[in-house]
Amino acid sequence: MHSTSSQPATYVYGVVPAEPFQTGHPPLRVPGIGGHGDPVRTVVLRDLAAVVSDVPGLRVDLRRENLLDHQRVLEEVLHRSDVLPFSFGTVATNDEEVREVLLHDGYDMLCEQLAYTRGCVELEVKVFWERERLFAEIAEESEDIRALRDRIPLLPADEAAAESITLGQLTEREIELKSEWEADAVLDALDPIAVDVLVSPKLSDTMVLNAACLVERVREPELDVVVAALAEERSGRMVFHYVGPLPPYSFINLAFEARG
Amino acid sequence: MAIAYDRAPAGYDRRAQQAAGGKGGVQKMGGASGLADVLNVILEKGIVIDAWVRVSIIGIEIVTIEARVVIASVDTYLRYAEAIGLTSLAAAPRGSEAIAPPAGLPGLPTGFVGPTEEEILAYLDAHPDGVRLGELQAYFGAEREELQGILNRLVQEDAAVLDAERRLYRPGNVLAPAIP
Repeated sequence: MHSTSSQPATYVYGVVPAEPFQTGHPPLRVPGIGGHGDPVRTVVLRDLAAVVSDVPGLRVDLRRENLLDHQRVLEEVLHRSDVLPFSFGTVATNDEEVREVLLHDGYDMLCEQLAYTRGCVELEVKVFWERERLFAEIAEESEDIRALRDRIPLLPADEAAAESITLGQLTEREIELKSEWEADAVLDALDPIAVDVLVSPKLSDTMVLNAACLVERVREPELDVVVAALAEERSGRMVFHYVGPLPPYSFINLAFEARG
Repeated sequence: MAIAYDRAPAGYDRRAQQAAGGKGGVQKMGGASGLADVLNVILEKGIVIDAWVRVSIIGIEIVTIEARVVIASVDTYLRYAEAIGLTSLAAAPRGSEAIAPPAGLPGLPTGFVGPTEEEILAYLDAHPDGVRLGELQAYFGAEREELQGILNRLVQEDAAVLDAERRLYRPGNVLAPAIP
């Protein structure tokens, strides 16, 4: 049934409680994915709805414009209601498939998940070292590293190359230790405000922390203050990227079985 | 919160970090304006129905996610060593700028035309007690940087082992690396 990609299909952004999107509420004005201004609409089953728009075929290109469209729709929806976001690039064959496979078969799971993230948004807290400052601190703090650093320029070239590797290994261990210590300090400050915190793998070697916080909307301003203070205290040493509010992408825990 | 959709996404590179860090503190961004920061979230998290995920990966001009996996490699160690080496220059008194950068910090090999990995491995296999870089250099008549680049890769792949203490290269999986 998915053999042709020229048939119009249904792009799925997320699942919401149906009420805030029903008659009496203004339609969503944000354009759908694909750059053709397709209206964003809902497919409803009982008190749940899927936020969708039409796309020309089953495949969506992974390109910047489409990612932005996906994200903008979800941000617009998030202004109005809680939403369980779909991963980018989810396309159903048609509305009926959305209603049956997603809303009908997944009804209980979706309600449970909506209850878990009710009234909450996700905020990303990513912390990076200021690279030069990191290495300066390591050199300051470790006598071994300092000594090796100063000895290398005096060595014959081949010995210097090998010692450089040793120096790099010692440095790497220091980076890990320092990052872990700093990450713990940041997490200790986030924990009391967040409903849940998810720490993901680092995206680069000078990253200190890659965390997602699930926070009640009413407590978001508190988190803003805490993150600002954390960043201020570490100004010049670390850089904070604070992104959100987002739908609770990282706190979705649903397993859909393939439908026979 | 204002969302500036036309803002270029911040990358993970040093330039972006420094630009953000220059202000001191933190700037809160929406998911669209902070796209680079939420890219992995949008692509990997959220509800997934396997049969419905139909992304065709073209247009990877988006932004690069730097080093999804942080790989410890000899090249990484050399980059760290170089960064640490520069801290001594930064600390050096004025007038000493003429100090050469730390020796033995080869860049990545470019346009290599020397011995192949296999030839180097064959030589290492024939010398299980270990070989110094200088010896390989003399034997193959190759550029030191080029040899170092290959050896780095071999060590990274466990095909060769560097005894860092004695600066000897040995065939892989004969000895545990000297440095944990």
